[in-house]
Amino acid sequence: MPPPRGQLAVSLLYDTLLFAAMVSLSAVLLIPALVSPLSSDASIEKHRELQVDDVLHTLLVSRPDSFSYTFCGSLLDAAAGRLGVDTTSPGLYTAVRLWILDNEPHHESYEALIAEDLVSQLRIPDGSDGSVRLNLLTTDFDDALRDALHQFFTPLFQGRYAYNVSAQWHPITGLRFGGELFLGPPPPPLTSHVATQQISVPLTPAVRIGNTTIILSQYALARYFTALNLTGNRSIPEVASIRMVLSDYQHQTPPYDSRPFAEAAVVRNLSHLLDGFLIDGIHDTSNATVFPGIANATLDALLARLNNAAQQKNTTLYESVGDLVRAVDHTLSELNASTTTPLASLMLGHFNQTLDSLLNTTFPSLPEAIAACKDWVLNQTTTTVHILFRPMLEAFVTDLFDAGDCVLAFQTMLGSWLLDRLAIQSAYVTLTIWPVHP
Amino acid sequence: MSHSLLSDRTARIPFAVLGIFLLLGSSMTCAFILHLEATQTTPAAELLDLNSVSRLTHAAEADIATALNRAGAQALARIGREPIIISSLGSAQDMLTWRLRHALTQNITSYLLAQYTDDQYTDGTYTLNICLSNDTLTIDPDTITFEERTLDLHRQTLPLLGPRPLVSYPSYLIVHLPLTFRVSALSDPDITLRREQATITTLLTSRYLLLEHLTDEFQTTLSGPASPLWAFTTTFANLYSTLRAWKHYVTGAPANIVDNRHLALIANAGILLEQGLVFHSVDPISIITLLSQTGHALNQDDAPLLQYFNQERTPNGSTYNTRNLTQGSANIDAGDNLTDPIETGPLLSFSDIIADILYNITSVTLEFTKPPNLVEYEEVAYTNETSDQIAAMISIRHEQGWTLSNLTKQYILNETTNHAIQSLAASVYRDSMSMVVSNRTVIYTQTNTPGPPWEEGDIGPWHVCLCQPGAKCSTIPLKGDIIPGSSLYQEHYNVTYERTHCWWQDIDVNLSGNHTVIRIWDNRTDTMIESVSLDTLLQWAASFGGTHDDVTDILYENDTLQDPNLQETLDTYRGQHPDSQPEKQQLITTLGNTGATGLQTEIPGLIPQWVQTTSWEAFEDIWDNLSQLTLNHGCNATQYPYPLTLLDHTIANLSALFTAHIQENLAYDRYHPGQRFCSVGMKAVFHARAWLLDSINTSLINTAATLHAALTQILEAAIPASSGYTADSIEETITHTIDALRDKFTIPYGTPMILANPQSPTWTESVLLAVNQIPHVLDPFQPISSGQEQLWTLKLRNRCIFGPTGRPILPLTPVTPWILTMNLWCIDVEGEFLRFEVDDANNEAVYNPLIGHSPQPYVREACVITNGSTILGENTRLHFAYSTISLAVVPAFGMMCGDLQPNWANDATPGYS
Amino acid sequence: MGGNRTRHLLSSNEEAVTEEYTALPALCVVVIGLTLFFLLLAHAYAAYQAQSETAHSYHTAELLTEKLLDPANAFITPGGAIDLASFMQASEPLTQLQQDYSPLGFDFLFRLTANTTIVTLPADAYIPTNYIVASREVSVVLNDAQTIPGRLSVLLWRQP
Repeated sequence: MPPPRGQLAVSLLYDTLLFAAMVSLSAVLLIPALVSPLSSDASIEKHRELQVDDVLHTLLVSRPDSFSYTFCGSLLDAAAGRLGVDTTSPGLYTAVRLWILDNEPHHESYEALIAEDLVSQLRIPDGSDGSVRLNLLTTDFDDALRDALHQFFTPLFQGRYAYNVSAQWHPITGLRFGGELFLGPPPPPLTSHVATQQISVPLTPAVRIGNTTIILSQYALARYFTALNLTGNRSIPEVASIRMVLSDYQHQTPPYDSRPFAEAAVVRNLSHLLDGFLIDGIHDTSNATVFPGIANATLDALLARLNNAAQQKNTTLYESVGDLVRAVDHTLSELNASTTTPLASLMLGHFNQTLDSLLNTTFPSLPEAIAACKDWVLNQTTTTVHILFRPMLEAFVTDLFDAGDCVLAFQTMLGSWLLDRLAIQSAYVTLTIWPVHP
Repeated sequence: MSHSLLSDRTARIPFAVLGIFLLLGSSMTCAFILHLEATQTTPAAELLDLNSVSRLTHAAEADIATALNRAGAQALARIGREPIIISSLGSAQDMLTWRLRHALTQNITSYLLAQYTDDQYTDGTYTLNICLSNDTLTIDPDTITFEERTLDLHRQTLPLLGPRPLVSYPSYLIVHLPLTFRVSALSDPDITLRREQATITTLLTSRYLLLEHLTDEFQTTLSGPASPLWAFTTTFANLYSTLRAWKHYVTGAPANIVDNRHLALIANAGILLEQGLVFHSVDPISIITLLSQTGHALNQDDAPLLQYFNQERTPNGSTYNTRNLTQGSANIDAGDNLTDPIETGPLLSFSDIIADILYNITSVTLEFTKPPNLVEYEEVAYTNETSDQIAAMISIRHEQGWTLSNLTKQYILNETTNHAIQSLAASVYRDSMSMVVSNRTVIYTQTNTPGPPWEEGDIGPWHVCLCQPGAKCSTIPLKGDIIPGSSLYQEHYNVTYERTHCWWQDIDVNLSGNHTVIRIWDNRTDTMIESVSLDTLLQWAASFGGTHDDVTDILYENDTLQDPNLQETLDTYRGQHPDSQPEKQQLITTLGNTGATGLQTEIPGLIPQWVQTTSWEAFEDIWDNLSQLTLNHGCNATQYPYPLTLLDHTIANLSALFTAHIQENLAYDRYHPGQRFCSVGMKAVFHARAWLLDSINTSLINTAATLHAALTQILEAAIPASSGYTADSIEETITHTIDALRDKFTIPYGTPMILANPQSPTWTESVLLAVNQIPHVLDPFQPISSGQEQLWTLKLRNRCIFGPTGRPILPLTPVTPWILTMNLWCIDVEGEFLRFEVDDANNEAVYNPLIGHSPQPYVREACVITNGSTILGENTRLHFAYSTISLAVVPAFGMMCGDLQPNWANDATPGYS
Repeated sequence: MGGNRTRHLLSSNEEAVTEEYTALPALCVVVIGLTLFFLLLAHAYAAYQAQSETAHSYHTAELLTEKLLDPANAFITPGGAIDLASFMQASEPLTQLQQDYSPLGFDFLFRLTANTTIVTLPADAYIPTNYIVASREVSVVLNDAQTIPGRLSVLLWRQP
């Protein structure tokens, strides 16, 4: 008997076509496996991360072939012209001008140049979120350095990557005080790779406290705090208050048995202490300065040379502005004895002008201008510190109260917390690269 | 119906179902492959971590190297302001190393403590700390080592006047600092992950060493015998003294030929030139102060320094005009215009030489003047002490305020020359004659023969028994035909000879019965008469200097010229040889001597008077001719300020001129127009001319040799044995440097030098220095006060060795001619700089926050360097001292040459001790 | 009646669903499709293998650069830079590494490029066409005064 035959059937053609379609579909399904970018992407990402570290390190170790920036050329022309020297003469004047004109530090690495540039800027916060550069004599240093960096990176990346270099030196972290250097467009948030390196800064500010002089470095300060017994020193009112509050809280003694109340008290006192540490100085009950404010001390160190020069005594003037300026002044004053320090005076006048325009007042002499500038900066700093450090302060206090033994926690953590706010001798260079698709 | 699947033949599996299985299979494969890939990427990503530790270490090492360089540059800047040159604690090199180590240790320790302790140096995951020896917490200074890097310095320079163009100096220092690091994880800082020892090496970018070596080189170019400054001063001073001496010789002023004011300017110009050549940079105020002071010394307008500064318009150097100081100062001191040319004539002229041959000086007249109008004369006879007498007279007169304004000579004819002419004429006026037997014939013979049987026996010789003179006649040829060997006179003689002629025969003689043969003799006399002709021949006439018989019409008087022409010599000869003279007799009577000669005699002739006078006229003629010859224009004192060189060139020039004009001066054709001399006298005059020219030549050569020897001897005697230079070195120096200094020279500044590493061609850099010195120009007449002491920065002394008159060469005696006057000055220079600073103006290695970068200084001044209470050593001033010789030579007579001011023997500036 | 006999003899079996001869084109298509699919599968695996191989080689090359930059090598200066003069004479680490990697079937050479200077170690190596490159940016010390950026590359290939 013939097998039953179904009435419904698929034609062979459709079957075959369907089969062919399914084969194609399975091929399509296999495509992700073929072109999977997983491992190559991972390699590329890893390579770029390595590369940005390498490039940054190479940058900091390499030395530019010839680096120079102009300094003082127009000032010298002005000073000489005022004395009657023919500044268009191609003779002796040109030879003297050549001494001063270009600063060419030979064989210095980019790291050294960047650090030196940062310190020579004398930037101070300008009240809003920015900063203003006090030292206008060395603006060409910035420009020349940016050019040199550009010349370094361009053949290196050859258009495949775009880059952004930023170098910052902020002795008090978060405060725009110190020096900054930026080059390149802002990086996109997603595809960029970053490398940062810490470099040292040619400034060793020393601060005099009573009979001792200590260098403003974390190492020396930590030892000083230990010697001072900062956290156990009851002669410092704020410390005494905080200890009292904490021990009261620990022993649940009113009025400081409630955490919010205690926290608020500690925050208040700690805020005073921080202000003192950073700005005004920490005083004890007899109003003797136990520790001068960091900002105060750093500002003094930065402006020390300018201050010395402003005293206009020849011994300190030329130590501050350099031997070559002295040689030129000596030459010019022999030509026309009407002034003994033509170039140096003009340089200092330049500073005077900058400070005048910054503070919107005219000062009769540079020392007064410097003193006024210092006060102004410290004022700005105080405001910024309060705004900037408040959250950190509150977080620290929370940590204190969260710890079991608050007083012990206070003793161990205060020193390092204070010192973490500082980065006096370190600057950071950050290199960000991202691929550019032509 | 139940069918098992296997036996069911009703349908087949459609392909689409297969397709579904295929789909499932491929998606599973895809997922599997993706999973495999995902597992692969994880280990790759973890690779990042391995690098972090070494990266951190490298970053720290690079950072410390930078800090080391910075500290080193600051330390070298401090050291450069007070370098230790001498120290009792060690050598200068040791002190530098010690101070550098000390400064670096302090600086680096505080830096390391500030940055690399307490886990401050971190990259977020790991932290790096330095291990310092716990008890001292410092770095051991002795672990820091240094290495010098030597580079080649290329400069433009001048030969002999400047330093070497290529020198190799250690220019950079390389510091090695061994350190120990400890790397640990930030999360667990007490566990050391890696401990490593590394030596941080860095180049100190300050070129302190180069500045130190260049300053030392500058010191050596200034000081010592045969240093470039010595060469400069010698050449310049010789040019200066020569030109001023010429002016003095011609006009009597300047009175002080070598003046310390100008020597000070010369020394300062030299110092600035050396500064420019060594450093390629000069103190700009020094140049303009020098120009200003030079202008002041030359009575030019006193412009302010600023004007000079603005007027210097060449960017690479400043030109200093030598002529102003040499020629100009002479003119100014003599009261003339600055740019008047000084005619420095020839040192020696034919006129002087010929005058000395032809004339003798009997005495010298000195003319003295005293302002306003007084003139006096003094006469000094020419003896062996004339030089001293003249010198004494001039000094005495000078003390009384008189100045020598003229020196004239009184001449008489030189008798020696006269005698020379006479003896020459006598040699020319001479001829030689002889006699020859021209003919001898027998005119008569008589023999007395006895005949046979006589046999001939001995025949005796003929002897003269009679000599009879016969005819004598003159056979002199016609005028103009007389040649040597001509017969001038003939004499005939008849000479009778006799001789004994013996005859013999043998006869038998019977004597006493014996027959004997006896020889018997018969002596007879033969007679012969011969006729002899004796000719007088002329051997030669007017022989002189190898030439003879070249006079026209010899032996015939020349009426036109009134010259006897040896005509009378024949008579004289005959007079000398009469017939009775034995020798003549001998000639006449000797048999068979046809052709024999004898009686050769030289006969002097009569010398006419005019030969002497014509010779003198010829001499004057030659004198005129030679005096008109001018010496080569370039053979003067400006071209060759060194007298020996000038002398040699002058003599060579004169010899050349002389040789070129010999023929013209011999004037041969005047005396010997055709084949022969016009007359014997003319020949005599011609030879007199030749004698004079020969004398001039000999005199030239002898004078040259004597002068040269005398000058050299004086010079070598004046140079002290310990001075370090010789007369030859002075000559060589002046010859090689005069071209660079004669008119003007350029003090270079403002051009960079090239510093290159011979092992590494890519390391090439340029060096531009800034120089600053106090005082700007060293002044011997004004001390500088420094603290408690008064410092004389320049001390000069010039000593005029031969006094206000100089020394005549050859000395004034009746027998030696006075050709030149020379004088010699010994110049001593000593100086020091109160403060000398060099700054490296195009490698500002020292960081200064206010101006960016500051140059490396190097200062030399007198100060003591202490470290707290310990004296480490001293810095010393740059100091130099040298001495040299300056000569001047002028022709004889005139004002002579020498310093006329009272302290000519020891003209020293105030500071000289 | 064929009966069982005819059922078992395929050649004389007349029970059939379709005529195979008329379905041949369809069978061809199917067979070709199947072949293609298996080929694709094989290709996917092969591609995966190749990629994995390349990635592995690349990682090896990177490891090699890492080993070369090991501070223990004589030509690495403190600070992580390569001293050019020492590098040109560095045969020790190269030979050691070559010996280490040779059993694994790898051959390689190093190339240091700095400015216009290119140094290849070993100098006379023959470079085949299919190599992998891994590069690192390094600083190259030319002499005490000059340090310039350069690139250290490892060219790696499988031994034939």
